[in-house]
Amino acid sequence: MKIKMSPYLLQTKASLKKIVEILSQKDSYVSILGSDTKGKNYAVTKNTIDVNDSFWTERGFVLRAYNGTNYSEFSFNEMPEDNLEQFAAYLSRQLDSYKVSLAGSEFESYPVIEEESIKADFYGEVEILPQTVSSEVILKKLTELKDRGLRCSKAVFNYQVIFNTTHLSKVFISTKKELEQSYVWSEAYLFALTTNGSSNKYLFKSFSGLKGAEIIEEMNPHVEEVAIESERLLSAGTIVPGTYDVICSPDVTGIIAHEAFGHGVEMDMFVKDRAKAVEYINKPVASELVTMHEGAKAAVQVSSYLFDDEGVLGTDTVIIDKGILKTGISDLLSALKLGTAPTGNGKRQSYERKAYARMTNTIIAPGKDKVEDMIASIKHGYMLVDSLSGMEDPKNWGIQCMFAKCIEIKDGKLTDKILSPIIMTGYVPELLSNISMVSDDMELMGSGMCGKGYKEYVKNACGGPYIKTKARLG
Amino acid sequence: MLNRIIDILKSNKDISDWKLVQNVTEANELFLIKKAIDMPRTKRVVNIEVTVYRDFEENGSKYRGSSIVKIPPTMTDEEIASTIKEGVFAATFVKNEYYPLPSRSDRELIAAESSFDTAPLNEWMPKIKDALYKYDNFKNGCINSAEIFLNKNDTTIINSKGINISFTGYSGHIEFIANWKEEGEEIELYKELMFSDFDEENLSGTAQEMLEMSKEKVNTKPTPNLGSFPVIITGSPAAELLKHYYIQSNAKHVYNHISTAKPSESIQGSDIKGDKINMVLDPAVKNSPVSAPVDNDGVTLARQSIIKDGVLQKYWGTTQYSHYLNVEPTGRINNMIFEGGSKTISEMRAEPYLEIAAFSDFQLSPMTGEFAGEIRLGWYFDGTTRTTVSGGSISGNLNALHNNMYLSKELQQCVAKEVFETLNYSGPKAVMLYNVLVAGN
Repeated sequence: MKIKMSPYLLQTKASLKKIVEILSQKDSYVSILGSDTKGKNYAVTKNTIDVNDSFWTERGFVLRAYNGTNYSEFSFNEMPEDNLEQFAAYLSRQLDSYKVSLAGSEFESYPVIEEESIKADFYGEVEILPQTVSSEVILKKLTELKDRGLRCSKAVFNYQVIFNTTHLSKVFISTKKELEQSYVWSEAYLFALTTNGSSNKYLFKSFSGLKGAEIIEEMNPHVEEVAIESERLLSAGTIVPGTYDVICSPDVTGIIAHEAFGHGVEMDMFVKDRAKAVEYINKPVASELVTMHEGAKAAVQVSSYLFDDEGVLGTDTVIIDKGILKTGISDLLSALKLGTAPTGNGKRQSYERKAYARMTNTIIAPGKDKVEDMIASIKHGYMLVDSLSGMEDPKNWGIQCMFAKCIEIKDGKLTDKILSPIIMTGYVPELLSNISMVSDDMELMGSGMCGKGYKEYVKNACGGPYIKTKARLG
Repeated sequence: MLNRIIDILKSNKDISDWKLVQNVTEANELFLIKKAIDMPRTKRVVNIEVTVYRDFEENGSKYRGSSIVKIPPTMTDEEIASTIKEGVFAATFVKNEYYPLPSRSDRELIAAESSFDTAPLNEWMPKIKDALYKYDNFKNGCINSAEIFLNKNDTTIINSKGINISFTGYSGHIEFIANWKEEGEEIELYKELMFSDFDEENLSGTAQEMLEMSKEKVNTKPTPNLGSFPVIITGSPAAELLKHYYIQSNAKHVYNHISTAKPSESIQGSDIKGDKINMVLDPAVKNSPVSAPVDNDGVTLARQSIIKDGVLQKYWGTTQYSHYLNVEPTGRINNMIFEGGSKTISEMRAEPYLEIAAFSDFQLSPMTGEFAGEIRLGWYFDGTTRTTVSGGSISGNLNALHNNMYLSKELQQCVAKEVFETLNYSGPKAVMLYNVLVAGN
């Protein structure tokens, strides 16, 4: 079913165009991004049920204007139906409010944004529109899955099932651009908590995509598996710290791509001289088996859109081509500063926040190897699975990734021995240069959120094939 | 707007109770590269959250369903009514144990004072910027970039039981990157500051301290593979570690079996050899952006002793989860205060140790007690030489180590963050643990 645009934004578009027209008489570049996003979280645990509007729910606008030196922004969510001249004057005063108090300060300078005339739209499609399924039906399905999870084992002391769905509508209006898009992304989680009386463990499996309520059914075959694997963690050993041959599962490959050369090539970091990558453009940074893509058009997942939060159309950027770092991903202002083409990666947590260069879909391309051959090639090592978190270090190229577990590989075979939890640390080019095998399949995951540092959360996806490399584990 | 929403809530006969929280936020923001302003931003937004409650009975048991809906100020009456109706319908299937809503309290509201009250936000921005950059005059190091946010939040909480409270708070937030370069590669360190009052000395001093730390990081060596080793965690990672006890003593986590902590029992396991935890929650800590007279339910907040000499005194929690555990609700207080311990940091350094001041991302699971983090800046002392190190990682399980944990006498105030939530920490500047696994070169 095709997703429909927010009626509110459609109705407000004429006013936005009028405001841009009025303010353009004074400022040489003016744009407004309008967002009307409705998100719902459904969560069922052993003892509680929650149905709430989500973090992503919002309705508001961000105005950007060239102030003669650089760009000022004002975020607002009240809009009069008439007296637009008066309201435009109020917006103009807000944009200029820094000028007196910060007079005498040093300012970075930017050229005026030159735009091509574009009028375009995008409406996503899903199998089942979430708003056509009642809360009663959704909660009943989640409760059934939760009850099945709880019945799996006495070790399961809580089982959580989550379904989050977001219907996003955005318009972007500037002097030359008129863009609108509306799509739905959803994610779901199975989350098993287990105990043996003295210690607890947990494991989750996530599901995501440009999908609607159909994603709930995807959880169905995995309920017991998550509970059983979580219980197995209770008897997992701890790793002897050291460097090992490892095979990374697709979600681990994804998190490595994301942390290593996703955050590492966000070009607002180039502008701040915070990215080591800038010194390595057109130089080898990884094994020649590695080709990496990034972009709203690089894949179909939760961050696949027509235009970003600065009105730039999404692209498919080749970050690493056969081991050679080619370019980065950029927001509009960083591209303007660096004299490069914007890649459609200017994203905001919300209309209330600034746009930064952010990832969308980050993937390492598949290779030619078979997973079984990769396992067979290892005398002693580990398969890393179930990623939990990661952290970037664009300046010094350190990497930290945490995983729920690893499975021991001995004499070319996966064993029953699992270790948990695992932290992988290292130097990004070393980790990527040691990639010696890449599988011929791939998966993409888009659950959770990504922060820039410790804030500015946005949705994105990452993934890839199985890869074989060497990694320091602790 | 609020009256329109309240009228609609009152006219819906399916609603048993309701709560409305409005936040009007005005903000000034500066994004800087070196000392130059890259972008000035301002904001004025009105965010309204309505919680609708619907009571029902099944098999003689009473239940209370609820659902939170967001009402933007541009919604028409029809849209508001429809959004609320959807929320009420959803609440019908939210089968949670019954709990009452708080009523109007006669307790005095404790309000934190702020000098930000004395002038418009935009007049404070140059003062904050200048304070941050006061000591940024080194030859080889500088503040690479900074983001400064100053918010004025006017909060109104109204519920169907007679609560109607309004108060103003300020939240300042700074993120900055300190760089240093000598002969080798330039390095950087990240720092986050949160505040609710203008404390020039604190802002300047923190920036200076980070610049000095970044200077130290220039000359690091790889962290050795130390196996099981004594570790001193200093600065904000110490807050992240001790936050574990805040989470473990929360009624919601106890109800959901994430925590097994019980009142009158040790929260640090048995046979405690090191320092014992003492934690109070205080709603009115000076210069804390999360100080507030009431919580989000409108419960009037007061100082609470939660852990004394390692023993849990009581759970803290919201009205809902406190009711489930049959304890008096403290309300949600986001300022945690830990007492200092028995050793100074110099005394902790009397034996071989690995001291860590900065991680890439220190993580501690409240469910398992497992912690880990990559080392961005630390010092390894082998008994004779103290070497600056980076790289490698530490890991361990706090539940297995906290009966032999030492807290520094020196104290600090900093942020301890949860996703979507900020906590303010006042407490020991350093925590020492034994038998932590150190993976290095």
